[in-house]
Amino acid sequence: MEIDQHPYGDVLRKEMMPNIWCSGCRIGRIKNTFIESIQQLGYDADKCSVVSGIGCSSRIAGYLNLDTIHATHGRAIPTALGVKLANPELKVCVMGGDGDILGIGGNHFLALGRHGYDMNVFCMNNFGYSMTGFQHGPTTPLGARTITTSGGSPYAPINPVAVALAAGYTFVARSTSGHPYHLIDCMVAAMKNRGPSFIEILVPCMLYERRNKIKSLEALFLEKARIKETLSEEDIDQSDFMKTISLGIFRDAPVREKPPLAMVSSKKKAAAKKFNIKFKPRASGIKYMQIRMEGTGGQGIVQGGKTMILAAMNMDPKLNSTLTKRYGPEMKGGSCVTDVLLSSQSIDYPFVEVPDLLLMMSDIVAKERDGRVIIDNKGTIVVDESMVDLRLLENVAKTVKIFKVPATKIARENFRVVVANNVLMGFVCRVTSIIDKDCLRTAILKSAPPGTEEMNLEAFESGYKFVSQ
Amino acid sequence: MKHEISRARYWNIQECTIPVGRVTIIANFCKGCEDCDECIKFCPEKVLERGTIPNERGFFPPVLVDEEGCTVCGRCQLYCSENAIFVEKIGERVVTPDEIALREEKLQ
Repeated sequence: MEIDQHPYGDVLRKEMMPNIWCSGCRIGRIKNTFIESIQQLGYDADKCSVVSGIGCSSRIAGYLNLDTIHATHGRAIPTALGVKLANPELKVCVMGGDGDILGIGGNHFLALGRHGYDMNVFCMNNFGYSMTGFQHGPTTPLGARTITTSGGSPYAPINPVAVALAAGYTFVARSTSGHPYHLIDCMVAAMKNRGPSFIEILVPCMLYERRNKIKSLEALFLEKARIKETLSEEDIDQSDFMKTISLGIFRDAPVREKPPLAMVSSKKKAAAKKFNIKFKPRASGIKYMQIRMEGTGGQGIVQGGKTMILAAMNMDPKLNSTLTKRYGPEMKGGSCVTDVLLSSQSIDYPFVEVPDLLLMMSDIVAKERDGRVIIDNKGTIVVDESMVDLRLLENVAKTVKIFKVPATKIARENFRVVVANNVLMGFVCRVTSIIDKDCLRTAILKSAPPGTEEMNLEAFESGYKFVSQ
Repeated sequence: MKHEISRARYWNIQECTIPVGRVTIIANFCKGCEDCDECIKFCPEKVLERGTIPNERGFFPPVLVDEEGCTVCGRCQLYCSENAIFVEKIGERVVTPDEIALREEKLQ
């Protein structure tokens, strides 16, 4: 076939040709200039990748015989970033329209300038969403008629070049489809730049011309556009593009060198003291035990439940157990409940119905239930008396055993408030003797953040030694 | 006429060679009409003209008027959105002063 002898034939996907764009559309020419620029730079087709989103201009990826991805709408830049991170040697180019890159993917466009990866964004600006019949988009000029703004667009357009300059792109240029040789120069310079590059390419849309009764936008570009060597701040503005268009390279800067990261260079912590605790597994004799911890968020309720279940599993490997935590969206200060089930048989229902052992670190949960304390008749309650209103327990005081410990007060006076759960755990360990002391200590060591093991263990000891008056 | 010959002498144009190209038009790819016609508009040698025979899609692709006129500038190839036209270099030829003079006259 004749197309096989075409000089661009190596880079074109011939089975997809002829292309789908409208008669008179100039997007195909951008494809040609891209092919020319990669041929000029001598890039290997295997080292070049094109990612595009959805839209008229995003069809370019389908016609190029490179490694291309046709991504979802507006997500061309994140997809390209993934390609770049996976293989930094690739030359990644993003082709897209103004609706794709500036409208729907606008935030990704801003973020790329901040991240500073070596990627090229070629934005074909045709003043609206032309693929679906020309709706109003972010770059539609003020007063332009589209399907959705039949009386003229009431909003001022955003200026892509100004946004790119503000976002920190190291290469920013503007060109039109009517100046393909200038565009090739811009593309070559953009691909040589080691930072994020952005080129705004003005492309005429036949639908825009028809709706706004312009004879030929291409002729208008050729007539009004001026290619300038040095551009001033006034040239950035193109809101009145029917009068003047300034083309050229607005910025071609080297990539900023990143300062060393402050977090990484901080001093290393001294190696934590190692604790050596040994324990012997033994049969616990528990048939079915329901344990509930109640309190407010931030007291370590979930952490306490985790410590307890870990210790129980260490002590008796045959024991089955579940941990269920419930807390509201208000993690710090809201009500928080942790249910722990220990059973010698398999557990069917993971929630506690009537707890055998209730650990109350706060009365907020009981107050939410109108002051009712749910506990088995032969159960045990361990109360943090510095936090709980003891009048709540008067109804159940006749049948159940109640142990009181000012865990939060001890933790606040001797250590920090965050270890109050370990103080309570130490007290529980002595008064109930469900779980061995050494097992609990091992579990605390495992779950404590590095550097705080000693404090946690001391808190546990002080709770263990506490004798209520 | 006098002026032209003197200019040719000044530039020593007797030994000047220009490339000769072959233009291939893939008629069925073309979408040329009033909106496009870029290959015809931008050709510096004016070797193309709008044709009269419609292609598969009903568009009128351009036809080659001057078979030997192409100088392989490659503009039609770059400007064509549909990749329906391309040029290849097939040789070179010497330009004579008379030819230049004739051409200038023709353009005037």
